[in-house]
Formats: sequence, C-alpha cells, structure tokens
Amino acid sequence: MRHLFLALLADGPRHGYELRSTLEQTFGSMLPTLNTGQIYTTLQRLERDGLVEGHEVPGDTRNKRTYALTDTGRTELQAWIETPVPGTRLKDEFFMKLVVVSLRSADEGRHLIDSQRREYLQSLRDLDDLARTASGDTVAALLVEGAQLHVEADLRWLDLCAQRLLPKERS
Amino acid sequence: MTDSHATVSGGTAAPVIEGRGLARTFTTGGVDVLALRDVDIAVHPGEFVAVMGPSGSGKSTLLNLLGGLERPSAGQVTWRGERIDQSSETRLARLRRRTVGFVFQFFNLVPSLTAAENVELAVLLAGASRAAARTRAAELLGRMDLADHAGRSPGQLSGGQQQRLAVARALANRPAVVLADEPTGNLDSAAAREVLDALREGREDGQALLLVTHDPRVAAAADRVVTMADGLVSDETEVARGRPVPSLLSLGPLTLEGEVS
Amino acid sequence: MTPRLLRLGLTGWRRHPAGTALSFLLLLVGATAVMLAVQLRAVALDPWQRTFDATNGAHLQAFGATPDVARVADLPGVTEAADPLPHVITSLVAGDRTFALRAFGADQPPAVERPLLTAGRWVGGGAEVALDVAYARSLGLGVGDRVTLRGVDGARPFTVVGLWVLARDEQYPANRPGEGFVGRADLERLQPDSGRWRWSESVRFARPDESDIAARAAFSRLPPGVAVQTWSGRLGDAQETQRATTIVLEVYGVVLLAAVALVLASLVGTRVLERAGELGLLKAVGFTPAQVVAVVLAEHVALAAMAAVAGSAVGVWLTPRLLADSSVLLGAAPTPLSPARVAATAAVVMATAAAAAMAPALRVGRSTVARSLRARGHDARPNRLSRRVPLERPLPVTLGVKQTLGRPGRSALTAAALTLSVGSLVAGLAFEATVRHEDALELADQARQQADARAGELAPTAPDPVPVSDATREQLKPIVHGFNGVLAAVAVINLAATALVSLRRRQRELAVTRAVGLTPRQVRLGVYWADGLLGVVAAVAGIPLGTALFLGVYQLVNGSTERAALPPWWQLALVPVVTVAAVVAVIAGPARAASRLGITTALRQE
Repeated sequence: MRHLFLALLADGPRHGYELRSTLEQTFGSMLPTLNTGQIYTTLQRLERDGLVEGHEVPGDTRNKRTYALTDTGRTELQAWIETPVPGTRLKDEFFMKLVVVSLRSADEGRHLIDSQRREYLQSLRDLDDLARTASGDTVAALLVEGAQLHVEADLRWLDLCAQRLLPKERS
Repeated sequence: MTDSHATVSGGTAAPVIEGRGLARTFTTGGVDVLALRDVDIAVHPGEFVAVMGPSGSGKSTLLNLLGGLERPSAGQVTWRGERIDQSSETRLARLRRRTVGFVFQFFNLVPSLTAAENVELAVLLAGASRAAARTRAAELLGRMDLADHAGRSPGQLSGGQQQRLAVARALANRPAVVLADEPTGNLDSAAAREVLDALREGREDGQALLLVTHDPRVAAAADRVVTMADGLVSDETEVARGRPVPSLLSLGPLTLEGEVS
Repeated sequence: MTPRLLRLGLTGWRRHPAGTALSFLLLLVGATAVMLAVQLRAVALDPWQRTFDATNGAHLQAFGATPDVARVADLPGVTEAADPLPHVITSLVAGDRTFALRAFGADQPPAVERPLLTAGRWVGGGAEVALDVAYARSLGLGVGDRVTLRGVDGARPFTVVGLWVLARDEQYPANRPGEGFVGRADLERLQPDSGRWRWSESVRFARPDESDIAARAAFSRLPPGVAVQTWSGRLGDAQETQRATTIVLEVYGVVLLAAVALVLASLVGTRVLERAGELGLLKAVGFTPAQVVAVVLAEHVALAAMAAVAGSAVGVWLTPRLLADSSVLLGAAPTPLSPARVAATAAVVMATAAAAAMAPALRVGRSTVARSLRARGHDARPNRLSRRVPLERPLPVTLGVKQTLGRPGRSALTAAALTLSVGSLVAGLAFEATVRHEDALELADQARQQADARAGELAPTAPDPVPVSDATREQLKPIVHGFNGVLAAVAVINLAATALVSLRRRQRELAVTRAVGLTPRQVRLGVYWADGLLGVVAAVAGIPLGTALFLGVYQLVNGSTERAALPPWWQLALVPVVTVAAVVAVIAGPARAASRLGITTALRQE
C-alpha cells in the first residue's frame, strides 16, 4: 500500500486528506473504507524510512502537514513500478485439503469439489451483480472482469482435479 | 391420459417440464454409447435452471429429450403433466408450439424468411391471426433491440443479433419453458452477455428457462445449477442472489507492510 | 492437366456419391441422345440408298400392257435385266375390310428390283402371298395371317407367308395400290386371261447416270402405252423425306443438349459450391486459381468421357430398336460403333460438361481463400420477389413458395430444364394431333376424288379405307418418340437431382421449422409446393414453347403450317397436371425421408 502512496505523491506535495479522497475517487467501492488513522500511520512510516518529507504549513493551526517525495522515495517508487508482479498466485488451501481428503475417500473428495464449485459459482454470481452496479466505471469493470476470469479458471481447474484425482464413479 | 407419476419436487407448483429416469443410448459403429444413464430433473414455472458439465457429459442429450427432439431409450418426459415421450411426431409438433421455445447454439433461423417473418412463423403456427402475428413480432423485435433489422435476412445479422432473434422466436408464443442449448457458445463475451440478458429478462410471463452451457458465467446467472458428468447428475445447487458485495482490493496487510516487504 | 489434378478431381466423386451418380446418369442420357442423333443421321438419312443397294434396285423401269416392255433390256448400257413381271389389280379382303392390291406373279424373287424379305419367306406352294411391309403394317397383317383375294371367278383364300421392302419414292399408303407377290400359277387363277395382265420390266445400267438419257431413247423404241421411270426420279422424292428428318433431328438435338446443359449446370454448380470449402483448402496450400478451375473441370470432363463411351454403346443398341418400328426405313441392320462417331459424341458431351462446370469453377477460383473456406453454398434468402409473398396460412405453401423464390438462380435453371422437357412433350402431342388431322384431310380428299370419279363415269377402283399417309411423317415418328423419351428421362433426372440437392441443403432449415412446430406433414407439403411451383411454371411456359417449336419445325419441313394441328385442349389441360404429378412423385420419397429424419440429426448436419 505504501507504494500506492508514493505514486500519489509523485506529482507534488499533498495533504493526507487529499491522498485519501484521491484513493476513494480512483478505486471507489473496490476498496474497503479507509480510516484516517491508517493513512497517517502509513505516512509516518514512510517519513521514518526517508521516503517522504513532511512539511508544516505555516499558519495552519490544525497541525496539517503536507508530504513530498524524497529522492530515495522517487527511486523506491520507480523500482516498484519496474518490478514485475510474481506470476503464480497459488497458495491454495483448497488443494491441500483436497489431496489429503481424497487419499482417505473418493466420495469425500467429490463432496469437497462439489462444495468448492458451489462456492465458485456463487462468487461468479456475486461478481456479476457487482458488475451490474458498477457498470460505466472502467476501472471497476476491469477489476470485476479480472476476478471473474480468475474464478472461471478456478472452476476449470476444479474439473481437472475431479477428472485426474478421483476415480470415475460407476453406478 | 392418466399420469400415475406425481411430481416429486420441492417446488409448490407443478413442474412445467419433467424428466424421470431418463436414459439414452446411441449406437456408433456397432458400439452402444450411454449418453445419459438415469437422470431425474424438473423445471418449475419461472425457474431458471442451468445444466453444466464437460462436453460428452450428456447435457445436450438431456435437453433434446426434454424438448421432444429425441426419444429416450428409457424413462419418461412430461410437459405440464402430459407424458410426451411416446407421442407421434405430429402431436409433438402441435404441443411444441405452445409449450417449448428453442434456442440453439447455431441460431438455426429459417434463412428464406426475414427476421420479422422468423418470429411471425412461430406465432402463426400457434394459430394466431396474421395481424396478431405481426404485432407480436414487432413487439418482440423491439424488446430484443432488433426493430431496425426486421426486414433483413438472418444471414445479414451479426451472431449476437441472430441469437437475440432466436430468443424472440422462442418467446413468441409465450411458451411454458424456453430450452436453450449453448446459446452463447458461438458468441464473443459482449454478445453473449446481451443474449443472456435477453433470455433472462425477455421472459415476461414467468416462463421457465432451462439452459445448457459449459460457460460457468452463464450458469452462474441461473437460480439453480445442475452439474452433469458421465451421463448422470453429479451435483445440484441453488445460487443466491443479492448477497453483499465484497471488496475486491484489499488493504489488509497494510499495517504489516513495512515488515513484509 | 497433370495426373495429380485429375486425382484430386476424382476424390470429388467419392465424397459425393449421390451427386456423382446423378451427374453420370445425366451425362449418360445426354451421350445416348447425342449418339442416337448421330446414328440416326448415319442410318436414317440414307435408307433409300441402302434399300436400293440391298434390293439390286432398278435404274430404269418400264410399265405396259404387254411383255414387250422387256425391250428396254436391249437399250445400250444395260448390264442386268429381270424377266418381265406380270401383275393384276385385285382386291384383298382382311376381316370385313377390302383393299386394292397389285398382285405380281413370280415363283422366284426377280433378279432386279428384288424385294428384300424382312419377315417370313418367299411364296412357295399355292395360295400364298408375300406383302409389302408398309401395306401389311397399315392393314395390321403379319406372317401367318389369312386373307382373301378376289379373282375373276370368285374369292380365293391366301396365307401371308412373307413381308418385304423395296426402295420406293413413296411408301404405301401414299403409293397405291398396295403390292404383293403370289405364285405364277395363283396369278393365272386370279386372272386366267393373260391378255388382261399388265407388265413391268426392271433393268440396271453400268453407269446409272445414263438411265435418264436411256429413258428418253426408250420412248422411241417402245410401243405406245408403255411408261418408264428412272431411279433418279425416285431418289429425288426420297431426298425430300430426308430433308425433313434432318431438320427434326437437328432441332431435337439442340433442344436436348440445351436441356442436358441446363440440368448439368445446376447439378455441377451445386456440387462445386458444396465443395467450395475443400477447394478453398487447395488454394490455402498453394493452388493457383487456374489449377483449382482445372481440378473442377478434370472431375467433370472425366465423368463426361466415361458417360460418353457408355452412352455411345446405349445409343448404338437403341437405334435399330427405334427404327424397327418404322415401316419405311431399312436401317434396322445394326450399324457398327464407329470410332469417329463415338469421338464426336464424346466431344459434344465433354464440351457440355466443361461449359456447365466452368462458371461455378471460375467463381470458386476467383473468390478469396477465406471466403471459399467459409462458403456453405447458397441458402435461400429473402429477396424482392420472395418478400412479395406474405407469410400467411397455409404456412407450408407460403414457406415453400418463399424458399423457391429465395433461390432465384437455381430455381430458374431447374424451371428452364423442366420447361424444355414439357415443351418437347407438347411438341410431340402436336405432332400426333397433326398426324390425325392430316389423316382426316386425306380421307376427305379421297372421298371427294371418288365422288368426282363416279361423276366422270371412269372405271371405279375401290378406295382403301386407309388415309394416304406421308412417308416423312412415318419416318419421323420413331425419332420424335425416341427423343421425347430421352427428354423425359432428362426431366426425371433433373427432378431427382433437384429434389436430392435442395432437400439435402434444406434439411437443417426443415428441421428448424419442425423445432418451431411444423408437423412432418406440413414439412412435406412445403417441399411439394417449393418444387411443384417450378412444375407449374414449366408447364405454363412449356405449352407455348412446345407449340412454337412444333410450328417452327413444321414450317421448315413443309413450307407452311396450313395443315398443322395443335393438341386438343384436354391434352393441354393435362400437361400441368401431369407435370406437377411427376414432380411430386419424384420428390415424394426424399421429402418423406427428410420430414422423418430426427430433428437433432438434421440440425447436426453440415
């Protein structure tokens, strides 16, 4: 999150409350509500690490500070932007459960897959509802689309698990 | 016809379409292939049911049996309480006009008729007057956003438009149920979404919708999802609507950030 | 054309066996027809000369009241002479009808102008008669039949033992009275007074063209009352007949080839379009448009070559069978299959096939690879014409009509081919009607002449109750009937092809209408209407076409259409009925199959 702050300060010094309103405008309902404390804690840490500098605004009685990027901060921001995000995002708890359970009983494995599929389907439905409320907002629409694609991939992978890990049922 | 098979489903109203113990065997090159083994399914008025499963799982066969396009090897199909799996082709054709509307993957419109005439044909077949057929077709084309294309031939329409036209035709006689076989299988995602919306929202009189798809996003739009595998129903689930929407971006590790990076 | 292209063409045969079989059948019928025309020309155009040669025909004949006619044998240049031949004019009674008969008396066939037996044998014992085949046919007599000849002392029973032909200028009944041979003893019994016999003498010259000069010389040497006739006079009359045959053969030949070409074009066009995807693939792997065209042409020209050989054989087999029906022609002897004629037939048929395949081949050759790969043939689609027809009950009717109108090119081709067939049928009917009409006119003429003769108190001869028929007409009958048969075959193949091709293409569409709620019966009705409509169009257009065709040919043959007649109204009224019935009969089977095919099976196709 701190790199996001650095990015928002790249154009020039900002007040903390300015940062907050910019975040809310850009990501809207995609982000949980931010409280003021979180923002100032983050800014203080950035200042501690020498990435930003705080300046008192003369004549402001309410102790408002503006923050500006330091050279170190600018370097750190550039490094963050240039570093690719790791491709794999599997830290799959479900998979571990499935393997353990399937060893014990195929039926339990099947049950696990079914309930996971229900979960994914429900997620897709929720995302679809979200897409409808957020229509017209490009950033939000893209985010939802990405999430949907991920869930679809999960569903497809679920089918693979069922096919390869569990023996076919015969009646 | 007396029907000894009472409905056994959770719904309060009688199912509009029901299959019991459905099985279907195909013979290919002397080898019997069991496409469908033993499937019970009931669709109730107004319900939207999606049948999902990998290709070869028997989902299209199930739809064809329920729609009376094919006859089951075993089991029975009832439409609004009337058993139809033994009916003559002529009787089936007559019943189909009022009971079932079809939407196919490859549109299957009548190429020698205009868009409007494709809808009118269905209405006329059900016995309506020419004037009534025209009115109804115009109304449906308007609802499917095709009013400007009424005089065109199906070949001149885009895939999405053709499929919306097929939806209009399927809804023409306010059938009890619309059966759709991979209706979005041949379309890009934007057109698919439009067709899905047309199917979901075009049903003005609480028609049921039974849809076969391999697209989970389409399936997720249903009230109930039936999952098939190897000619059997492997799972069935209700999909809730209107749940609180979660946040997609997480600021969760915010406070730990310094330590993590 | 490389072998590889040819082989690629041949794979097309295997992929579409039904279409290939129909194309082959059509080409076979076409080749048969062409061969028939070629053979008929070869055989029928020179029947007189063939008969003349076979009968050792006379270059000069003399007729008179005494055996002195034999003096023409002394003319310079005469190489061969028969004995003078006596005859009497008598009456032949067959059943309750009486006919005039010129009865010759000869125990052996004369050496010159020797009748050629086509059935039975020469007269042997007593009370036997051998008749001119045209005369016998007209009277309905055959070998073994019993007749009565009237002698001066009463009726004598005779048995018909043989039928024969001679090279005439005109045949019975145009040439009267009918002729027959009896034994010399029988002649004496019929007319014991040999002074009342009449005589003829037939001679041959070394140089036949001298016979006209000889004839003039003969007049000075012969006693008065002797008449002569030369072979060139007889030939001139015979040639008039041939001219008519030529015209009719050529007109029919053109009509037939046009019909075959139209049907082929529609058949080949469909096949090429069905294979468009496959041919597009060839282009995708590097074939040039010219090579693609070559593949298509190879496929069809090779098919045509095979059909031409088979058709030639059928044509050669069929020709004498058609001609055997004619009393006039001596073409009944089988004519060997000449390589030149087979080559000519093959050339015509292959050229027709190539022409029919060229347009669709070029179209595929020209279109882009992507478009050929996508092509699915042409579905019917709404156009200005089909939009005019409102979608209205009865739905099978309007659906069928709209489908036909939605495919105007193909429908026009099919209708044109059908129209030609119907037109030729109408022309055939007009021919028959004219034969009857001319017979009636002839009978009226005869009655008038007879009345005139009585009024003039001339020696009355009993008129035969048979109208004088034109030799030309007799000769044309088998040709007209034969070609009408072939055209009918083309029409049936055309219908079968249309039904097969259009039903296969419409299978999905029909299945869709069934999924919407059309009953199988409604589907069949729709198919009947779609194709029956073409039948109606063909019938309506075919009647004036056939009439015009007949009148045109009649004008060419006879110089005027004064004596031509048109078919009676009821026949014309039956033409559309029969046409539509034929259409429905041919497509009934496939239509039934299509209406019963499982909906999902039909939808899966393609």
